[in-house]
Amino acid sequence: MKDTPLLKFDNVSFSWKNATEPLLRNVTWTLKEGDAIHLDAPSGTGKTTFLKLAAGLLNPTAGSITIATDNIGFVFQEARLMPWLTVIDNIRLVQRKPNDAPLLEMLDFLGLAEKAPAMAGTLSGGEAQRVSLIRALANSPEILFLDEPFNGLDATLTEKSVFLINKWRNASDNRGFIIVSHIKKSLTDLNAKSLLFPKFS
Amino acid sequence: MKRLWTALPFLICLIAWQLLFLLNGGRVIPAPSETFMALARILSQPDAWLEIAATLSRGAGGLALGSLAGILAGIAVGRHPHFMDAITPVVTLVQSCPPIVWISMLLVWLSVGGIVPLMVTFLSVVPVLFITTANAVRALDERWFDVAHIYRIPYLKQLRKIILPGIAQGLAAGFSYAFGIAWKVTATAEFFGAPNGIGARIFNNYRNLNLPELFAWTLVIAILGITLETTVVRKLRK
Repeated sequence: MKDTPLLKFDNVSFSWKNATEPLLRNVTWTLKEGDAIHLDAPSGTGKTTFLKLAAGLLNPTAGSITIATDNIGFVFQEARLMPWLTVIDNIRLVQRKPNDAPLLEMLDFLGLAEKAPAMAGTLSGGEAQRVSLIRALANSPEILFLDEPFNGLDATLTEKSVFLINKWRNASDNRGFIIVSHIKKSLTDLNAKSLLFPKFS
Repeated sequence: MKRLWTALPFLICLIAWQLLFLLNGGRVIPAPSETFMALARILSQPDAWLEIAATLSRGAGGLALGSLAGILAGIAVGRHPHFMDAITPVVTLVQSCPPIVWISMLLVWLSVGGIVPLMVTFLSVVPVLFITTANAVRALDERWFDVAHIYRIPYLKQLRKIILPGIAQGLAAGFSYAFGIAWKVTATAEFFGAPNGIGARIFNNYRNLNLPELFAWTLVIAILGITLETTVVRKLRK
């Protein structure tokens, strides 16, 4: 159902230990089902921190964050694959119901069919980034956190990645995502609304 | 050619041994020939192999149980730095105790028996593997655990797919170190308080001042130690 909250920031503040200025101050904000949000701010203003707070990887200094689901996906700025596992095993690692078919299909679509049995440590940055996106989509999550997901990808692969994200989103109307990216065309293709950060207009 | 280089130090030792024997007339050092004959005599008796088997099984048992306990405890604690900092002084204390402390205590509590060498080996191995495991777990990249958290990977799966592969190298190093310790400690504990085993044979021959057999059993220990080192331990280090 639309407008149901997926994620809620309630008067959230966050500051790093020993920092003089808090990174976030009294943020109240909601991600609703169907939302496509682009965090819009210069670099170094804490967008990654915001994503990590939202995904539960960091705890707020004050206030509370509630998340309506435990089925989430996250594309980190660096791919964070386990180098000692193969590409397919890296994705299987997070999969809740074992099913290789959709994984192989996505690998094939992003030009990685032959890389499935390769050790993740041997991939290039762009290849690892694509695997990281497939991993994030493996459980058909309700919320997707995307931190520069198109890093190291050329125009064609970026378009294909956008296609996969849109396909995931359109498969159900109770999904939402937050993206940090500087690629304007992709943001338009994803139909993402800009959220001015850290002002939260 | 390479074999010659490996054999050369042993040959020099043998010559030095023969010279020392000639110098002091056999009062405190037996002749190499006499020692090798004693060795052949010992090894021709089935009993000797039982002694060797006793020592090997105690060493292996203590090593296996101690490794298991050390690794499990290390994994449990490695992700909790505060707990680890609290427990480390105790482990260091255990580790810094010479084996004779454990040997005498266990002998008092358990009296003479084959269980003492096994337990002393266990106690000597646990701290080594505990510390290497805990440090290896602590050094694991926090970012792997972010991934585990995001995707709610169950703990046992994290253990099999993230923690164990991530610490494998560190574990192998700790294990090969523990291996050497286990071998020495087992024989030492047998020397003081076991009815049989290589260490017990060394004790008997020492009491009877049977120098050729004392040296022969020492050779048994050395040969087995080298064999284990070159087979098991080197493989682990790779």
